[in-house]
Order: sequence, then C-alpha cells, then structure tokens
Amino acid sequence: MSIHIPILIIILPLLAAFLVLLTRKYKIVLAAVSIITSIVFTLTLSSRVLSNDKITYHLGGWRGPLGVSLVIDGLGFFFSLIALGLGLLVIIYSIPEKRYSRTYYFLLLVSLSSMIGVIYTADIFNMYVFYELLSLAVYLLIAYPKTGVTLRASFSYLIMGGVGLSFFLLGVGFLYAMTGTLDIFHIAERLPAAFNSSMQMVIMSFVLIATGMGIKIAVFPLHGWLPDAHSMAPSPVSALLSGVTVKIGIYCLIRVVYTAFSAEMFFLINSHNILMVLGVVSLLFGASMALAQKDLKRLLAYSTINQLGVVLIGLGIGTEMGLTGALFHVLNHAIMKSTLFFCAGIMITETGTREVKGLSGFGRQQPAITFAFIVASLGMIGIPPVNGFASKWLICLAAVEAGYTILVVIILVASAISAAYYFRVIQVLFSNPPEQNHIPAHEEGQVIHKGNLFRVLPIYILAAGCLLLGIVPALGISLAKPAVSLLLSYVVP
Amino acid sequence: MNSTLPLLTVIMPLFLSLTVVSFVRGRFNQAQKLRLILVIIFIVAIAMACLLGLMLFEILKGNTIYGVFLPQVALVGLRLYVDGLSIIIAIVSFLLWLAVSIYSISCIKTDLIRYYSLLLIILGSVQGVVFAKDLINFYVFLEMTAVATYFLIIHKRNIDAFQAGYKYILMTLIGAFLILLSIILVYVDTGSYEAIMVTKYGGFIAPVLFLLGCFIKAGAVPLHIWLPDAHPAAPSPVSAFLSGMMIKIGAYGIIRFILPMLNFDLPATNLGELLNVLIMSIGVASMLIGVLLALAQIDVKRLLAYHSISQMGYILLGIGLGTKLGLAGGLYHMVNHAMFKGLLFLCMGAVTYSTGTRKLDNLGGLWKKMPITTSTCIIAALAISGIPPFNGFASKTVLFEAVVNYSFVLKFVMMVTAALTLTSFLKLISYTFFGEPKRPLITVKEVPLLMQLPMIVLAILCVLLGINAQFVLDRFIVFAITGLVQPRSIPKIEFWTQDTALDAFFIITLGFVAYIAASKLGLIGREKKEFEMGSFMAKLSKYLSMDRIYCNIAILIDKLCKKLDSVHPRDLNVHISWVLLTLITLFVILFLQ
Amino acid sequence: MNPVNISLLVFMIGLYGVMSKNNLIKKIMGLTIMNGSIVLFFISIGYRKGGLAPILEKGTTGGIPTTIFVDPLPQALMLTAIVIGISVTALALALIVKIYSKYKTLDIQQLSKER
Repeated sequence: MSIHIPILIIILPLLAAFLVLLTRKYKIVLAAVSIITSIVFTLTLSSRVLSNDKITYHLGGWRGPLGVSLVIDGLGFFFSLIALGLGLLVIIYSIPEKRYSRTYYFLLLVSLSSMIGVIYTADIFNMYVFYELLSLAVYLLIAYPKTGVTLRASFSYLIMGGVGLSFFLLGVGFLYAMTGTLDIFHIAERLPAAFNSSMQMVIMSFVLIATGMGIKIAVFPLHGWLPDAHSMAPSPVSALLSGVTVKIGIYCLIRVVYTAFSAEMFFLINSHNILMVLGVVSLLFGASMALAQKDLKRLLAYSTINQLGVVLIGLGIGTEMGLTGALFHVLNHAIMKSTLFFCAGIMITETGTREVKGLSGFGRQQPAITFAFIVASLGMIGIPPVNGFASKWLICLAAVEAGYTILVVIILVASAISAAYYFRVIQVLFSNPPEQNHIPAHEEGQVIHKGNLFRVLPIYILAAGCLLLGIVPALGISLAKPAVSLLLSYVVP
Repeated sequence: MNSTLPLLTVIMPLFLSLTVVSFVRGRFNQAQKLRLILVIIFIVAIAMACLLGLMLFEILKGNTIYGVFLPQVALVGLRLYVDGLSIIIAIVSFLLWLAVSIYSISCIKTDLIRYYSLLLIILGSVQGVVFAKDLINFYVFLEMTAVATYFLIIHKRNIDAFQAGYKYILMTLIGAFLILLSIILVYVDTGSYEAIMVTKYGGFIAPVLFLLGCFIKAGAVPLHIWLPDAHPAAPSPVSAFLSGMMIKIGAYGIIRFILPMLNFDLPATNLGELLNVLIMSIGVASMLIGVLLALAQIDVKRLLAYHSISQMGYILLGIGLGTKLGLAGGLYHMVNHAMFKGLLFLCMGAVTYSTGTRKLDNLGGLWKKMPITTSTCIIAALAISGIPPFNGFASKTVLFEAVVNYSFVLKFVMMVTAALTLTSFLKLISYTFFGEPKRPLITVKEVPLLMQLPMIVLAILCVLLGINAQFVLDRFIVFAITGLVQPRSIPKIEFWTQDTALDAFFIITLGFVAYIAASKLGLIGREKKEFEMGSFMAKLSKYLSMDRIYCNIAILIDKLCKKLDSVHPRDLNVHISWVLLTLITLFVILFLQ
Repeated sequence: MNPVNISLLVFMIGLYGVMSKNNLIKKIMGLTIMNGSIVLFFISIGYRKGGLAPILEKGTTGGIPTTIFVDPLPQALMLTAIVIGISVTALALALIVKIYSKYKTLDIQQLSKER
C-alpha cells in the first residue's frame, strides 16, 4: 500500500471526479475528501522528501528509460503541496455558490489531479499529456458561466495555450530525437553528449520548450490570454488560475531547464540572462498595466504578471539565495493572490460591480474581509510583517550578490508602483459609500455572504498564512530548501 | 545586560492591539468600547511606565540592555538593544502617546476600536524602531509604523484624507525602499546587518540613499510634500503624534546609523564632509522654506505642519554640524519639539473641536471662552519661537552655541528663522484667540476635561524642560549621546547670561517688527485678498512648496500607464504574432552566441 | 528534403494560420495542422529506412537486433497526441458554437470589438 502512495495521490482525485458526476448530494463531500486524502498521503511522504530523499514509483513495474515513472523529490513535493492545499480551499470557497453543479467539481478535480500528474511524472511526454488535460479542464472552468466574455476569454486561452503546448511537444520531439528517451533523468544523463554533437538541436528544443511554457506562465510578450482569462473567470477559478495553474508552468520550466537541460548547460547557453530579461520586462509591464486598470480583477490579473516577473528574476539569478527566494515567492504569491481573488469575489458579489470605484463602503460592511485584503496586498507590495517581503528580500539580496544591483532598483520601482495601485484600491474600500445606494442585485444593505463560514474561512486561513509566513519566514524557506538543494545538485555533476 | 524588558516593551502594545481587535465584536456598544479602551490605556500606561522606568534606571547606571529573541522571526530574529539615546526617545514617544490617547478619548468619535488598535501598533513599532539593534529590525518596524500611520491619516474617510494619505504612503514607501536598497547594499558588502555597518560600507551610495530615505521620513525640504497635506487631513491627536514623533524617526535613523560617519573632531574624510554638507544644507533649506511657507498659511494645522518642517531643519542642522554640541542640541531640540509641537497640535485640535473650522479667517476672540487652550497654546508658541524660559529657548541656545563655532552667518539665519517663527505664531495666536469673536463662535465652549489634561501636562513639561535646562542637558542629553560619540563632556553651556538674553531680545524684537511690517504691508492678514492669484505670498507659496513638481511626475506616470493600456492590443492575432516574434528572437539570440 | 524539415514547414504553416486568420474555425484548423505536423515529426524521428514493423512474434524474440525495427515509442506517443488533439479541437468547436450563438459572428476582429 505504502509503495503505491504516489500514484494514489494522482488517482484519488481523478476517481472522485468521475464519482462526482454520478452523485448529486455528496459531490462536495466527495471532492473535499479526495483532496484531503491526497494531502494526507502527500504529507506522509514529507519526512522522506524533506531529508533530501527521492521517491520513485515505476508505473506497472516498468523501469525507465522506456517505462513511465513517478518521482517525488523536494521540488515536486513543494509544488504539489501548494496545488493540493489551494485546491482544497478553492473547493471550500465554492461551496456556498449554488450555481456550481457537478460538472464544476468534476472539472476542478480533474484539473487538480492532472496538476499533480504534471508535477510528479518523470516522463516528459506524460508531462505534456497531463498538461493538456489540465488545460482542457481549465478552459472549461473559465467558460463555466457561459457568458460571452468568458467564452471569448476561454477561446483565446485555448488558442494560445494550444500553440504553447504544441511548441512544448515539438521541443520534446527534438529532445527525443537527440537522446532516444523521454525520462527526464535519462535525458539529463544523455543530453551533454548530444550537446557536443548537435548544439543547435539542443538550443532549438530549449527555445521551443521555454516559449511554450512562457505562454503558460504569461511572461510579457506571451501574456495575451492572461488578463481576460484571469479576470473574467469565476472568482474561485481565478484564484486557482493565478495561484496554482501558472505555477505549474513555472514548475515545468524549472524541471525541464534545471533537470533535463541540467543547470550547467543552462548557464552555458546564457539562458539565465534571457529569464532575467523576460522577468524584468514582465515585472515593469505588469506593474504599469495594473496601475491603469479600473476593473478590480483585471488589476489583480496584471499584478500576477508583475509578481511572476519577480519569480523569473529569482530563477534567472540562479544562485542558492535566488532560487530560494524564487520558490518562496511562488508559495507566497500563491497564498496572497488567492486571498486577493477570494476577497475580490466577495466584493464583486456584494457590491454588484467589478469597478474599483464601486467598492466604496465595503470596508464598513465587512471589516474582516477588508483586513484580509489589506494584509495580502501589503504582502504583494512587499511590506515587512507580511510574507511577500521575505521572498522579495531574498531575491534582492541574491541580485546584489550576483552583481545585478540594477535589478534591485527595478524590483523596488515596481514595488512602489504596486503600492500605488494597491493603496488606490484600499482607500476606496475605506471610503464612505455614495449617497444613493446603487447596488442592483440585492436589497439595501443586505449582505448575503456575511457569516457564510465556507466563504470566509479560506480567506481567514490564507490571510493567517500570509502573516505567519511573514513573521516566521523560516517555515516557508525550510519547505523550499530541499527543492533548492536538489536544483543546485544539478549544477555540480 | 541581557534582559527581556525591551521585548516586553515592543510586544505588549502589539499584542494588546491584537487582543482588542479579536475580542471586540459588533455587540459592543459605544460606552462599553470606551470603557474597554480606558482599561487598555490604563494597563499600557502602568506597564510601559514600569518597563521604561526599569530600563532607564538600569541605563542611568551606565549599562546597556540587549537581547535576541525568537531567532526564527523575521529573517534574523528580534534583536533589540537599548542605550541612552533609545531610552530617551522611547520615553518621549511614550509620554506623547499617552497624552494623545487620553486626548483622543473625547476627541475621536468613530471607529474607536480601529483607531486605538492602530495607536497601539504605532506605540509598539515606534519602540521597536528605537530599540532595533540591527538594520533589518529597524526597517521592519519602520514599515509597520508607516503603514499604521497611513490608516490613522485616512481615519476621517473624506476625500482630503484619502488624497493626503495616498501622497503620504507613496512618499514614505519610496523613502523606505531607498533605505531598503541601502541596507541590501550594506549587507552584501559587509555581510552583516549590524547598525554600525553602514559606516563600514566602502562607497558613498548606501549612506546617501539611507540619508535620502530618512529625509523623506523627516519631511526635510525637497522631499517634504507629504507633510503639509497629511497633518491637516489627519485627526488632530494623530497629527500631534505624527509631528511630535513620527518625523523624528527620520532624524533618529540619521543619528543612529549615519552619525558615526560624520566628522567628530576627527581628521576630515571626504565622505564625512560630503554628508555633513548635505545634511546641513537640507537642514537650512528646511528651516527657511518651512517658516516662509508657514507665514503664508491660513489653515491652522497646515501652518503648524510647515513649522514642523522648519523645526526639523534645526534638528538636522544640529546633527549635520558633526560636533558633540550640535548633536546634543539636535537631540535636545528633538525632545522639546515633541513636547511643544504635540501641544500645539492638541491646542489647535481643541480649537477645531470646539469651533469646527480650521481657517484662520473664521476664528477669533476665543480667549474668554477657552482659557486653558489659550494659555497652553501661548506657552507652546513661545517655546517654539525660542523665548525664555521655555524649553525651545534652551535647545535653541545649545544649537546657537554649536553653530557659532561653525559660522556666524548660520547663527544669524537661525535667529531670523526663530524671529519669523515668532511672527507666524503672533499671527496664529492673535487671529485665533484675540480680536473680535466671529458671529458663529458665540456659543463655543471649552473642551472636555480629558482633552485639557494632556495639554496642561505638556505645557508644564515645556516649562520644566526649559527651566531645568542645565539639569536636563547634563543629566540626560549628554548621557544619551555618550554611547555614540564618547564625549567625556561637552563644552559648558551657560543658559542664563547676557548673551542669550540679547539673542532672545533680538528674536523678539525682530519677530514683532516683522509682524507689524507684514501686517501693514498686507503680506499676512486675515483678509482674503492677498491670497488671490498673482499676489506676492500666493506666488511665494506656490513656488516654494514644490508640490507641483511631484504632482506632475505622478500625473505623468499615470498618463504613461494609461497610454500603455490604451495601446495594448486586445487582438488575439497580434499576441500570437508576438509569440512567433519571441520565438524567433530567442533563436537568434541563442544561435548568435 | 527530409521529413523532419517538411514537418517543421507544415508546423509553420499551421502557426501562420492560427496567427493571421480571422475566422475562428480557420484558427482551429491551423491548430489542427500544427498538431498534425507534430505527429509527422515524431513519426519521422522513429522512422528507419527499410525497418520492419516493431512486432515481436513468438519464437523470434531472441537474436534479432532491435535496430532493424522502426522505433515503436513515437508511434505509441502519437496515438495519445492525436487523441488529445481531437479533444482540444472538439472543445474549441464547442466553444465556437456557443460564441456564434451569442454574437452571431465568427470573425475575431468583430468579436474583440464587442463589449
């Protein structure tokens, strides 16, 4: 039994997904229980993973290079915890909304299960398959309300995502042509030889895979789908998209770049500079676009581009501190951004408008939600007692140590701009409501979600997480440590 | 000495604030909330008095207190360190905080719980700032203070408050980011967060950045624009604390972290010279421009805000001199300024509370109705202008003494500033409290006892600190700077001599002359006409306030972002072509290598 | 001209279609062409001139070197990829039907003008 835990973690939500389709009454219980079980299973592996051990599971007993195997190491553990934890909170947050039927939970469970699949699999083609599955589920989740804008957003995501995954698959094809295997670890062993004989092929596959994943991560010139998809999707889905799905792209990038291409080659072809440049561009672009937005969720969507820029800069620096900072920022951003999207969901349903201006008076109605929003946005800006500061601090230190002082200046400028747009929202939250009550959807002053525990509980948990990780950053850093030491171990063969 | 006292001092208010927020629910009515708050203030007052007293006792014996707590917290743990300087600032801030929070009981009517929990956070984090042993603790507490202050500034929730708060938070965050950048540079260069390391840093970028950050916090002149907006917009007790304590944090940062680089009777280094000149010139500019702008104001709290800038100029000038005497004067003036400026804001708060207006034009003849406010306000005004025997006189005497060794011109500038300060306060007092009462002010009453009490106490402190100047200087101020510059002694200052009397006489004469002349010329006065467009004072204040430059920059950035948003294509085809372009670019870049 | 280059050419044609066609269905066709080109690419990687079908019969397991077979792995992979491609296409077409019923147009320029 305990040998089969890795596959169970993936299978359970998938199984539950199909069971959910059969039942009407127990859909939520089933979904939640399956995710909780997966989390428990993942946690049982924690002691082994955190001591830098690697758990390998060969599917059907077939060993590599031909067989498909699942590998859980520090990196995979880190990302899978984020995905499962946030997935559970998204499910809890969705409970009070009656519109979400069985298919919604089905799609949610399929996407979570395939995320874990992407993370755990060691077979790069299998990674592609899981990623397509994840994308299909996500396209449908975005289009779930079936309104015009969501359909269009979903379609443009489908087109761009399809192109991106085609690039990825083509890159995988090149890798296979060079090495004759699809297992990431075997590719890593055989690639240096291939690099010496046909450098151009290696570069080709790197560029294809990086661009493909770049579309999924939405770095600046490849971000076209993100603002619509993240802002138009239902709020829990936005939280999932912004909090987890883009992180899966980052995971794939790290995995392929650091493991398959081995960090050595990564620096050899100077691709870390490319990551850094992309990071800087997305950072500034995201920040300045967010400043111009009037729509709350669109603002948050651009802020995602901004924060992912920080992560890419950390990855591009590539020193121990930079990687720690980047991974820690991935965790922090997942927590903060899903808090913000959850809060935004409540704000939008209660004020009946998506405009930032329309939020006035919300602070008085629901001080606790406002507080959570403020905490998370302080973290986004990078103000000390909240977690965003710790990771930005690490990345800044790494940048100066590596000799890129200018990067720190850029990060700080972007932080100042993000302060400008977050405080613009905060001050509206605090302002008094306008005289005429223009809330169309509900009766005057009636607050439908006030006291709905399922809706506010995830927000409280996440906001507490922001503060906890900010006050005791060592918690998050120790979680990221095994992943970082794993990545660094590829640098020195 | 290793002790947990500093930890308790920092943590207790923060913890209490957390308790208050989580304990109080909607079911509490106003009276219950008030009772709870009284209890909290009482607890804090007793506990903090005990803690600070114990620490002061220990420090007066010549020890310092330090401690490292909770090593897991905030990257390096909570590392606190208390010496003479910290304890003096901590005590002053606590006294001012107590005055402000007692005053607020009657003054603040809305959102009590939020207001007081923020006040508690500010108390705790100010103590944290002054007790911080290393740079990172300093930075963390600095940001906490900044953000908590923002929420106090927007407490009134009107459009002015939001605009002022927005300006404040952006400026202060930019200042904080400058400090952060300098801390990172220092850390990477020296491998340590210790306070002293700013001085060990090789280049000049980090100290200058740190200084700029501190200048923004202190509201020094080219970077002051948040200050005159934030003070009038905030509730009066908050302005009192803001002006009395928060802007001092900038000066404290300079003293604590930059001071060892300044020349203290040592062979001059280039960098030290540079920093000296920088601080001093900023100080002089703040002094003069602050007071000139104050003369032109008709909003009482805005007038006081400009005086804060001007008085910060004195403090910075004292620090920038780079002598023991200058430092002592600066520190002494910091303490005094906290007292009299706090008092002035409380008085003006009382006036606003009773009359409901902040405009000088609408005030007048309040002295019969509000005797306590009037008398305390006069004491504070005399103190800020440096008239004996109040505390402003004492610290200004020390500063004069320090400056005169450097250059006589500077002393003259300082005296002129003091005279103009007197002029401006003559205007304030005479227009507010004397003259004919305005019609709407007939029914005005004196403020409640809880508001009078802090004002009286602060006024008494102003007098005591002035009369016992010699004692305060020798016993506390010199003691506070002992740990920093090792002065066995500072040159003896005679407070009550013919020279100082002559100085004071000069200031008073010049002040009165300037007041009468300006009134006759119509430069200052309550008639509205001189504030019309094109008049001298209006032009002066427009060009000196520099507000426009900052606003234009902000508007420019906003416009650029809007432009970016409008040119950003929504067309899917364009985005896919960008994808292709990126692909090609990456190919080209990587193949060309 | 070897099959790898041809498949890359087809890939570019597909990308061109996705990029420049305004009709939603033509975009999907472009995507399908890209998918097809990838299938071609993988198959051509595994192709060996004169190779046998990779089928091991009973009794022939020993002795025959695997190099004479066509590489079976890409073929297996491409079965999966084709299935995925079809499901993406199906989903996209379903979305298009919905979009058409909402906006009565398939032109992406007109759609982006809609609010």
